[in-house]
Amino acid sequence: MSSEVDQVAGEQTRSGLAKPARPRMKHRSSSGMSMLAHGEPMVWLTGGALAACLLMIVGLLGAVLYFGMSTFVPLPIVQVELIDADPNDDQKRLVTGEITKEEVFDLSAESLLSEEYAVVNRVIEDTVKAIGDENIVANLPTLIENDSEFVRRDLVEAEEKLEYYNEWITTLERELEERIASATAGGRAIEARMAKIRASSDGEELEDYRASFQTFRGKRKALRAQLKGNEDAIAYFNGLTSNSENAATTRTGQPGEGSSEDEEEAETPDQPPSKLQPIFDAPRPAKVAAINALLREQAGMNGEKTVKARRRMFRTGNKSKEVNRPTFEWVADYQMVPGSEERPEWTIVAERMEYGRFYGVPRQFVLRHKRTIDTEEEDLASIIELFDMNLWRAGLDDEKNGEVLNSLEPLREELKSLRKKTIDEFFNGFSVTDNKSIEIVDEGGTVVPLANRDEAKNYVELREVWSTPEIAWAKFEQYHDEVRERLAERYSLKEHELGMVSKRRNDALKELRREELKIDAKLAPIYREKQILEDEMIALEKVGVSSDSDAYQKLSKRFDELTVEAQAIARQSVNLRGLAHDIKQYDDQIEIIDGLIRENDQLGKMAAKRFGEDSVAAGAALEIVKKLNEEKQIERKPPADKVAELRADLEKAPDYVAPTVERFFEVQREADLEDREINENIARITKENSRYLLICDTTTSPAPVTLSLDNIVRAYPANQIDKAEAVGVYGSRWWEFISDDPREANSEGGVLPAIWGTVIMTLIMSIAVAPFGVLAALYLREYAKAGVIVSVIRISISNLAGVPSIVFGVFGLGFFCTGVGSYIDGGPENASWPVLSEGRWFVILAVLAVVSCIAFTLSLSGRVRPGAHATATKRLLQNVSTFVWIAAVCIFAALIVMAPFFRGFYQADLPNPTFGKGGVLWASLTLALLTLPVVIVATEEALAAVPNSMREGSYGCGASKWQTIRNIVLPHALPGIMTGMILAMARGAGEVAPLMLVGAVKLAPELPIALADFSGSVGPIPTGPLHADRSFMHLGFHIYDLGFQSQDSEAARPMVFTTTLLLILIIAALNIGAIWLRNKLRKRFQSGQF
Amino acid sequence: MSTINTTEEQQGVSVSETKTPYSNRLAAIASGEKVPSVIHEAVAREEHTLEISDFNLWYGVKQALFDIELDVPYGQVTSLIGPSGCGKSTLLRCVNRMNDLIGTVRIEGNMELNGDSIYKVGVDVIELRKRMGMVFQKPNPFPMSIFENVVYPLRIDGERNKAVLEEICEKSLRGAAIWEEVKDRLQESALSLSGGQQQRLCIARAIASEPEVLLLDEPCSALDPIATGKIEDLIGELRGEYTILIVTHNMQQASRISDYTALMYLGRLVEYGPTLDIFTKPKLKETEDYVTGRFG
Ligand SMILES: Nc1ncnc2c1ncn2[C@@H]1O[C@H](COP(=O)(O)OP(=O)(O)OP(=O)(O)O)[C@@H](O)[C@H]1O
Ligand SMILES: [Mg+2]
Repeated sequence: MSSEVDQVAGEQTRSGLAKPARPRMKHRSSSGMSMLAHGEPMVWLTGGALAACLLMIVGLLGAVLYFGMSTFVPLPIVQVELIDADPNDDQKRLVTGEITKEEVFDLSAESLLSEEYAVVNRVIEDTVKAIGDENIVANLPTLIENDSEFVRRDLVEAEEKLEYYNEWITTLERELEERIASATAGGRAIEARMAKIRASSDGEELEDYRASFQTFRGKRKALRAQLKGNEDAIAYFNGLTSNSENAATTRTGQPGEGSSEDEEEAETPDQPPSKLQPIFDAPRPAKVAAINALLREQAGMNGEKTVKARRRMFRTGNKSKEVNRPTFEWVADYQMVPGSEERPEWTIVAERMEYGRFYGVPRQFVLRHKRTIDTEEEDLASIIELFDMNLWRAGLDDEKNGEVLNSLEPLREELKSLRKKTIDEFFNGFSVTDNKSIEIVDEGGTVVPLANRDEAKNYVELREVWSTPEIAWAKFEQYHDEVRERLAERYSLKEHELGMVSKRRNDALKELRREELKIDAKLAPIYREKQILEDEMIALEKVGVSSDSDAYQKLSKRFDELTVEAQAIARQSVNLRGLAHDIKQYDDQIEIIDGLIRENDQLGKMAAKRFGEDSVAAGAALEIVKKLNEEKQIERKPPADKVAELRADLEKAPDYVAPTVERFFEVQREADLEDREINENIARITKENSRYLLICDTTTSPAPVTLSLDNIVRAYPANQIDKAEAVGVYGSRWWEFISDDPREANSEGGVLPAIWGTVIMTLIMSIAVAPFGVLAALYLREYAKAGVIVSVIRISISNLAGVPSIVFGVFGLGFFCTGVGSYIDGGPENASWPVLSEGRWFVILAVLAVVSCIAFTLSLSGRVRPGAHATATKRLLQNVSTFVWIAAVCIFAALIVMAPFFRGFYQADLPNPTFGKGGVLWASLTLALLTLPVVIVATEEALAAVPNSMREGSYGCGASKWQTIRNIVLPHALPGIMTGMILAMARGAGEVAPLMLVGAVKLAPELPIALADFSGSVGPIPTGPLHADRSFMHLGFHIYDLGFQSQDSEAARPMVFTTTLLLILIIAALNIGAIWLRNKLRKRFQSGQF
Repeated sequence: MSTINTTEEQQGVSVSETKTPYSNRLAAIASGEKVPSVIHEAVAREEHTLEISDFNLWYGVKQALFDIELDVPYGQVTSLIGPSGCGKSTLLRCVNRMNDLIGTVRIEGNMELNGDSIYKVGVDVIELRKRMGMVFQKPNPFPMSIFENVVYPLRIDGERNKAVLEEICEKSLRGAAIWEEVKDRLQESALSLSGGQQQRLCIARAIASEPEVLLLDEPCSALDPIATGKIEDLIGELRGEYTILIVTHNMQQASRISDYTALMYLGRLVEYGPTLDIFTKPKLKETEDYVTGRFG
C-alpha cells in the first residue's frame, strides 16, 4: 500500500501535469508547460517587481544626491547684453549672474508681442532668415491663409469638444433630476438624503464638465477672433502690396522692388534697408497674424504653430536695503545682442550676511583711517562750542559780549593751528603710490583727493584707495579673514555674554515674582475658607435659620475676621516687579542727567581756568554752566519725585522682601556695568571693521556699490578660480551649511540648529519610546492571559500605526503642551483643570487608602491555586479586584491632577509658559506616541519568536518568570526589539506634520542644548545642559519651510534638496548608530553576562 | 489471552485490582471505562521519593490523565513507556508543575516529593522546581556560554562566588560525562556543541543544583546511537545518586537502564513494576504485547 503511494507521489513530482500513461514523452515535448510548472515566468515577474522597486529607490536617492550635492558648486558668472528698445539710449543693458536653469519653451506671437520692439524685430528677421524666402512680404497672405487653415482645424476640434461636453451635461442634469425626484417620491427621508448626497457628488462631476465646457467656449472664441484677425491681415497685406506698387509706379515710373528699396535707403540712410519693413510697421493685429504665420512656417508644416526657443535663468542677486529687486531673471536667447555673451574676468561673487548674493567687479578697496583727536584739541573745541551755543544764556550786555567773543579769538587761533599740526602729522604718514590714491574726508563728510586739501578745513578721516580690480581684490583677500575673525568675536560677545547678563537680570526679576507669589499664596486659603463660610451661611438661610441665631452669628463673625485679615495681606501685596522695574528706569534717567551736570561743571571750571579766574569770559562760562545745570535740575526733578513715590509704595510690602529688592537693584547695577563693558567692546570691533570697504561696479545699478567687509561671508572671482579653489569654495559652503546658523530667511547659511534639533528630538524620542513599548509588549506577550480584551488591545495598537501623524500632533498640542505642560508650569489652576479644596483632597486621600486596601484584600482572596479550578466566586473576586484597582489608580491620578497644593515649578515665569507650549520634550513625546505601535508590534513579534523550549528550560531550572524574561527571553528577543526601535527612529526622525504643532519653529533663537564655545564662535559640539522646554528647529520642518514658505523660492529650492540630503544622511547615521548598538548588545547579552 | 487474565486473577497481587475480568483492557480504556492499574508488589517495598496519588488532569475539557497512582522509588531509574499521546510527557511535566504555564490545564489529586505536597495551596513553585531537574526531548541549551549554561540554576539563586560556580560547573559536567569534551571551551557558546553534547549539557544543568529527582523526557530521541549510548551510560552512573524518572519510546532502552517500568495507555497507568518483571513476565497480556512490539 505504502509503496503504491510512493510511486504516485514520485510521478507527480517528476512532472506536475504529466499523465501517468506517457510521462516521459510528455515531459520532453512541452518544455514550455514544464517551465510554467517550474514557475519560470514567476521568476521574471517577481524579479521584475524587485528591479522596479530598486530602480525607484535608487532613482530617488540618486536625484536627492545629485541635486543636493550640486547646490554648492561654484558656477561661472555669465554676462550678456540685452537688445534695447531705444536705439538712442547708449546705456547698455547688461545682465550678470550665475546660470541656474535652462529651458526650451514655445515661442508664440502673443508672448513675443509683450517684448520690446527691437526684440520682436529681431525675431521676425531671424524667422524670415530661417524660412529663407526672398519674397516674404508678397507671400505673406498665402502664409497667413495657411495658418488660417490650421486655426480652422483647431476650431472644428473645439466645436466637437463643445458638443461632447454639452451632451454630457444635459444627460447628467436629467439623471440627477430623475434620481432626486424618485427618491423624494419614495417618501423615505433617509433615501432622499442619500440620494441628495450622491447627487451632490455627481453634481461635482457636473461642475467639472461645465468648467471644461466654458474653457472650450473661450478657446472657440479666441480661435474665431484669430481667424478674423488673419482675414484682416490678409486684406491689410494685400492692400499694402498693391499700394506700394501703385506708389512705386506713380513716383518713379519703374515698377519693381529694387526701386522701392532704393527709395527707403534714401529716406533713412543710417538704417539698413529692410524688405521686412511692412511687417515691422504693420498694426498690431496684422503683425500678430504675420508672426504667427511666419512661426508656423518656420516650425514646418507639421501642424505646430510655435517655434522652440531657449531661455536661461540668471541669478543676479544684488538685493539691497534700498532696492528689493528680483534676484533671478529669465533671459531668452533672442533677447540677447548676438555674440554679447561673455565671462567677465573680474566679476566676483560675494555671499553676504544680509541680502544674499552679490555680483560685481571690484572697483576700489578703501581703508579708512580716523584721525585721533587728543584731549587738548577736544577741550578747546568743546569750550568754543560752549560759548558758541550758549553765550545768550549768560545774559550779558553787548559790551561784555564783545569782550567775551574777543577773548575767544585766541582760543580759536590756537585750535586752528593745533589742528593743522596734527592733520599734517597724520597725513604725512601716508603717501600716494602707483596703485594707491589717497582721499581725505572733512567734518561735513565731503571727500576730496589729498591734492585738493583745503588748509582751513578740519579733516577727520583719511582713506587709502586701491583702484584696480586686481589690487582691490588682493587687498580684500588680505583683510577679509581678520575682519571675519573680529566679527565672530563680536557675535560671541553679543549672543553669549550679553545673553548671560540678561539672564541674570531675568533671574533677579523672577526672584521678585516669587516673593509676590508668596504673599498671594497666603491669600488663597483665606479666600477658600471665606467661600466655604459663605456657602454655609447661604445654606443656613435656605433652611430658614435666622441671621440672629448663634450658629449664623458665629459664621458671620469668622467671615468678617477673615475679611479683615485678607485686606491686611492684600495691602502688602504690591506689584514688586513693576515697582522695581520702574524705579530702575527712573534711576537710569537721573543718572544720565547727573552725568551731564557733572560734565558741564567740569567744562565750566576748565574754561574759567583758561581765561584766568577773574576775567569776564570766565565769569560768563561759569554763568552759562550754572544756567545749563539749573535747566538740568528741573529736568531731573520729575523722575526723582517719581522714584520717591515708587519707593514709598515699595515700603508697603512686608519687610522681609526688602533684601530681595535690594539684591535686585544690585544685580541690575552690576549688569549695567557689564553691559557697558561688553557694548564698548562690540562698538570697538564694529568701528574697526567698518574701516574696510570694497566698492564694486555692478550691472544692476549705475552707481558703484559699497560693501562692508564684515558683511561678506565669502567671495571669489568666479571666472578665475581653478579646480582646487572651486573645491575649496564648495567645501567651505558645505562646512558653513552644517556648522552655522541660517541667514536670509533660511535660504542661505547653515542648518546647525536644525541638525541638533533633529538629533536631540530623535534621541529623546527613542529613550522615551523604548521602555514604554518594550514593557507594554512584555505585558501583552508574557503576562496577559489570551482573551478578547488582549486581542482588542493588540488590534487597536496595530491600528494606531495607521492614524495620520497630524492627529498625534493635535493630541500632543492638547494634552502635552496645554495640559501637562501648563500643569508643570503653574499647577492645576494654570492648566484650567478643576482644583479640589484642601479638605476634600484629604478626604479623597483617605478614600484612596480604603479603596487600595479593599483592592488588596480582594485580589488576595481571589487568588486561585495554580492548576486548580477557578470557582465562579473566585473569578468574580478577581474581576472585581481588577476594577477596584483601576478605580484606585484613577483616584490616585485625580489626587495628583487636582492637588490644591501644587502651584507648578515655573510659576514665577507665568504668564510666559515654560513647558506649557511647544518644545522639544513634547515633540519627542508626541513622536514617541506615534512610534509606540511600531515598537510594540516589533517587540511582540520578537518575543513570540523566542522558542518555548527556552522558557521551559529556564523554568525547569527554577527560574522565576521575571528571571526567565530577563535572562533568556529578552536577550533572545533583543535584536528584534532593536530592529523595531530602528524602524521607529527612522519613522520618527522623518516626521514633520505633528512637529509643526508641538514645537518645531522656523528659526529658534536658542538651541535646546548648549554648544561648545569654539574660538569665539559657536562650535558643533554640545556641552551644556538640555533645555527640554525650548522650541527647536527640525530638518524636516526646515525643508517644508524652504520649499513652501520661502519668499525667494528660486534661491530656496536648491537648499531644499541639500537639506533633504542632510536629513537622509542624519537618519542613516542614527540608524547605523542603533545597528551598531544592537550588535554590541547582542554580543554582550548572548555571552551570558547577567 | 484468557490464560493470562486468569493467572493474574489467581495470583491476586494487585491491591487495586477489581474482580471484573477484562476481555480487552485496552479496548475498555479506549471506551472510557475506569480500568484500574496493575501495580506489582515490589513497588510498595521500595522507599519512595515521589508519590503520585489519584492524579487527574484536563486540558480544557479534555481529560489527559486518569487516576494515576505512581510511586517512584528512591535512587532508582523508573521509566515511563506507552504509545504516543498517552500522557507520559504530561505526567512528567506535572511533577515539576511545568503545566502551570498552560492556562487551560486543570488538575485533581496530589503528588508528594519526599513528603512535601507539590500541589498544596501556597507551595512555592520556584523552590519546588529547584528540587528537581528536568531534561527535555529536544536539547535546549540557552544561547550563552557553556559555563553560564551549567551554572544558570545557581546564578538565578544569586550565587556570585566564582570559585563555587567553577567547582559546581566542573562537578556537574563531570557528572554528565561531558567534562573532558568541553573543559577547554567553557566560554564558548553552548550552541556550538553537537546535539548529543548539548543534551548532556542539559543534563549537567539539570544536576547542577543537586535535585532530589531527575525528570528526563525522551532525552535520546534526537540523538544517534553513540550519543544515546553515552547518555544511557550516564544514566547508569547517576543511578543510586539521583532518583530518575525517564520517558522513553525505546523498549530496549527502558529494559537496559531502568529498574522499574510503568506502561501507560490513553492517560491511564496500565501496569507498573520492576523492569525485569514487566519485560519478562508481565501480569497483563497487553503489556507483553506492547513490550514485544505487537501493538502500538
Ligand atoms: N498543551 C496541550 N493542550 C491540549 N492538549 C494537549 C497539550 N499537550 C498535550 N496534549 C494532549 O494530551 C495528550 C497527552 O500528550 P503527551 O504529550 O503527554 O503525550 P506523550 O505520551 O508524551 O506522547 P509522545 O510519546 O508522542 O511524546 C495528547 O492527546 C495530547 O494531544
Ligand atoms: Mg512526549
